[in-house]
Amino acid sequence: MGGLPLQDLAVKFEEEIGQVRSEDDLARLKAAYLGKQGHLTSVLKTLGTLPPEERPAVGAQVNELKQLIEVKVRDLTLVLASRKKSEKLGSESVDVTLPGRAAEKGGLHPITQVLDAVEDIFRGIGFSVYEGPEVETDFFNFEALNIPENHPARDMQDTFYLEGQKHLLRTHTSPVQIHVMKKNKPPIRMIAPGVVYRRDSDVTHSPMFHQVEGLVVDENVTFADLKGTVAYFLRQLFGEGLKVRFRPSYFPFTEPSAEVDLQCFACQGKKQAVACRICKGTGWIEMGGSGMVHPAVFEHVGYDPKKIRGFAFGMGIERLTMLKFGITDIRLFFENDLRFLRQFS
Amino acid sequence: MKAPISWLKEWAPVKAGAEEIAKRLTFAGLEVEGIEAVEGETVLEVNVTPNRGDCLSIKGLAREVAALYGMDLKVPFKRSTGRVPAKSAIPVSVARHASCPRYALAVIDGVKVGASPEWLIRRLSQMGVRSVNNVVDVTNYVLMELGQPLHAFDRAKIRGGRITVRNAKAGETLTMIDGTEKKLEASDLVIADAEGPQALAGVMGGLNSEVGPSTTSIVLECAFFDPAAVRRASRRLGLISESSYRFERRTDPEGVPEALERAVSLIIQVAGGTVLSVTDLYKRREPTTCLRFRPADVASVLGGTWGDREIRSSLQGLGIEIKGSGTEWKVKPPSHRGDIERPIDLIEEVARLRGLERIPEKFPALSAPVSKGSNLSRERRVRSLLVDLGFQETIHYSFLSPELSASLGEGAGGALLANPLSRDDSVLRTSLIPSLLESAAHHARHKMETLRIFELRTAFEAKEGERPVEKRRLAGLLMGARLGSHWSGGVQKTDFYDVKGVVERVLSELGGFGNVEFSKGQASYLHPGQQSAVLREGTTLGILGEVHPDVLGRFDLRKASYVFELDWETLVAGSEATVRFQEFSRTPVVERDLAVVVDRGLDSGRLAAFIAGQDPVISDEGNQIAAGKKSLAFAIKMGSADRTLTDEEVNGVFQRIIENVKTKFGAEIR
Repeated sequence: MGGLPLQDLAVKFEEEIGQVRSEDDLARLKAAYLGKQGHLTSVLKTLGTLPPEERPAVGAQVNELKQLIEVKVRDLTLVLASRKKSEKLGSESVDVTLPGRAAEKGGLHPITQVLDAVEDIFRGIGFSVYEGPEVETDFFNFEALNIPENHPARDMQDTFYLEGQKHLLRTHTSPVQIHVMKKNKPPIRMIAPGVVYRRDSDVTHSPMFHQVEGLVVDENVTFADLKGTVAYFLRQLFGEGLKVRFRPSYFPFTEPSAEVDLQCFACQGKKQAVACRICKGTGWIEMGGSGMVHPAVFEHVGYDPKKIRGFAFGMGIERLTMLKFGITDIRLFFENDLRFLRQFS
Repeated sequence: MKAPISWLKEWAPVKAGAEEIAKRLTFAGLEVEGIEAVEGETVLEVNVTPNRGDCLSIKGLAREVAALYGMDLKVPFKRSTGRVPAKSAIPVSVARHASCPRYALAVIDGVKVGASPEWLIRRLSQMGVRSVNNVVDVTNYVLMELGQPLHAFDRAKIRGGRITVRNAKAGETLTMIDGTEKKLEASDLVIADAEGPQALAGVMGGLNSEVGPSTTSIVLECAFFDPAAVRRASRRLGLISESSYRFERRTDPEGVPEALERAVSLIIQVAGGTVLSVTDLYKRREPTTCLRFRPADVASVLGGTWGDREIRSSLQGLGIEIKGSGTEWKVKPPSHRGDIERPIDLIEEVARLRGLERIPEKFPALSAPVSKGSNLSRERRVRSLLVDLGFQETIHYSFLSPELSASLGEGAGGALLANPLSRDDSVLRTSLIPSLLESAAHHARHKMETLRIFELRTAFEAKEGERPVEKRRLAGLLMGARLGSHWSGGVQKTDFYDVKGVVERVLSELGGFGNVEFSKGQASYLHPGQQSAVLREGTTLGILGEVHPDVLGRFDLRKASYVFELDWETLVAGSEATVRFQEFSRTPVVERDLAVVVDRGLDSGRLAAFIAGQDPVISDEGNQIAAGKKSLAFAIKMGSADRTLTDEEVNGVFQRIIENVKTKFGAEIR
């Protein structure tokens, strides 16, 4: 019998497999025992030289050892493969604190955001949205809204006129009311958001700004409906439970007319050591104008003021936006500086 | 309008303090904007709306206070008429009764013009009026107290000894008491003597006949002028006075005698003299307004419940006469309330006197469905898409400077504003691109040179002498690093295909760009080789490309910038098509690669479209590799709707494509 006895071979295998560090080592070890020239193969080859009565016993021992080696090699193969995989994964680890690969998002202008919010609130209560032209005629901007020429009410809005013609830049979104009523029959339940122009410029006035106009025309509309609608809108935008009050005022196209004040959402009108910056300690914030549609306006659009009534309201979007975000200078909206605009995206 | 509390209380003797009175007035539509202490007196600053000319006096405001507190107005002086001749000591005639329905004159002889007494100076000072002399001060005092403007002429300066109220004649001029000389027009109403105008009716007196220290005899005018006539002259000449302010808001024609008597007696009190005559020419009385009023309408307009008795007492408290009872009343407003013309005006009076807080909050019922209105969802979707693509929305003024408007060096000029705030805001923009370039320049100056901004707004196409055409435009600007440039790959520069990609995404957001074509553009403000017109069936949707270096130079921009501008209405016009389902092929697709070399100038889009048009090609992808000429590689997918193609069929089609590409496009196969 050439080579080591089987016992020693088993011991030697245990020793050598303990030294295996890689899949290559293992392949070599496997070949050294089970390959064509391997130790076990050599033993098997000598089997024929043994006396016939010894052959079955030795053969069985050789097979037992072979199976043992095969099991151990298989087990170690799995272990090594798994170790290799985790080493590879380990080597692939990234710095999770570095920025991800995705396009940076832009943002909507804060005015657009508030216009969208206003639109959503009113669409939710069945209002349609209408737009109208920015260049208007005297009829739509003034006359049809019961602001005749040579009436002091014209002083309320300083108007931009176009050179060499009678057209003007609309001073309010109210002309959209006229356009819509001339084209449609009652009932009407609409808002008209849009840009308007007035010849005025300082910290709280911009020559271009945005308004939203609301109009409801139906058979039995009352001032109580006006109060409920405007109050609902303001509470949706600034907070449930806030009080809304109406102060009599004058607008040529509504009668009775009222200014709308919202209870200050910052201080709720509670007295504080330092007067509230939002409402200047008055507890109320002026929000806009409102009123019942003047019969003269209905007459201009061919509605019969005896049969229908309506209410209208208007608010400045910049003002709503400034209040919502705590912006103090209206001119920031139109400077378009990204350091300003990005704060709202 | 200022209102010293003590003066107000002479007329309306309420016990309430200034704060409480202020609050009541504010909630009755006369907003008290401030309460100030002036020389030991508490003065209210009341914002009187243009419809309430009757409140531009102490008496007028006191009338409101009295009504709010349910008391009678108290007249703090006696109306002494005395026996004075009605035939004027100076002949007077009115030529234009329409513009001057009432004209009253008092002639006072022997006045001593001098300083006013202390009380008069103090009252005027509290009202913010400077003392001139005793006679002029009295006219101002009565104006403040009763809201009726008066004018005193120096009788000695009235040439020819007679006064005519007439329209100005062509070429007449008048030097006003403020020293300015005004050219008059035939529509201006003047007070003239035998030789020419001495005052612009209702607006301002002339310098010549001004009452001064040497005056001994005066003619005191107290009139009712037509509000529109006064306003027209005042606007045209740029002269706004306390008088014109009141006349154009309508004074009370019935208040003329009281004011004249009050002024005469005060002048005699402070300057002495004798009244020679008091004449009142009242030729054209306004018809009395008498309204039919249904008290039930109060509740149907305001909502809530309103009692007849409450309505009646509110109106009567304002001096409104009511005849009748039951469901319809006959109502007559007082002469000082020219603003009450319709029943709705009476409802407003009730509402403001009783307080709007009395009205409950309700929600309107809808009697029928309302019309649909505008669809703004596409605007929202595109805005939101652009935000996702890294764009910040901007909103620029619609007007800009002539230089900025012309900065692209092409296109007609914009419409001009007749009265801009400044030259910088004088032209309506015809394109959104100049504003975006200006914004880019602003950011570049602040070291922000990577930018993606857009705007979706109106541009105005000027039409000679006509209304400008409003066009909604979608425009954007890309500058600096490509969006999504990453630390792992270094900074990549934005290029033409970034801006094109943005436009393509916008088109697909709006329903696809199947029939949209991109072809070389002609805009002089864009790079001649890097611009494209965007067309759909021959209609131009807009343009995109790199900004021309010359234009960049005008804005001091150093980084290449890319812009696009699309006409919104044209853009969305094609996006309304309804989607119809089409059967699609479930059979396998065979892929073949084709690499060709073509002339550099060839539009690869044309080649791609040709290949895609070959049946049974179902899709293709073009990929350009720059070379001497240029190499193009296509991955061509072939398939059939109903069966798997055989090798022969595929090879046949591929061969046909190769042949056609060679002959039609002069391509070499690589």
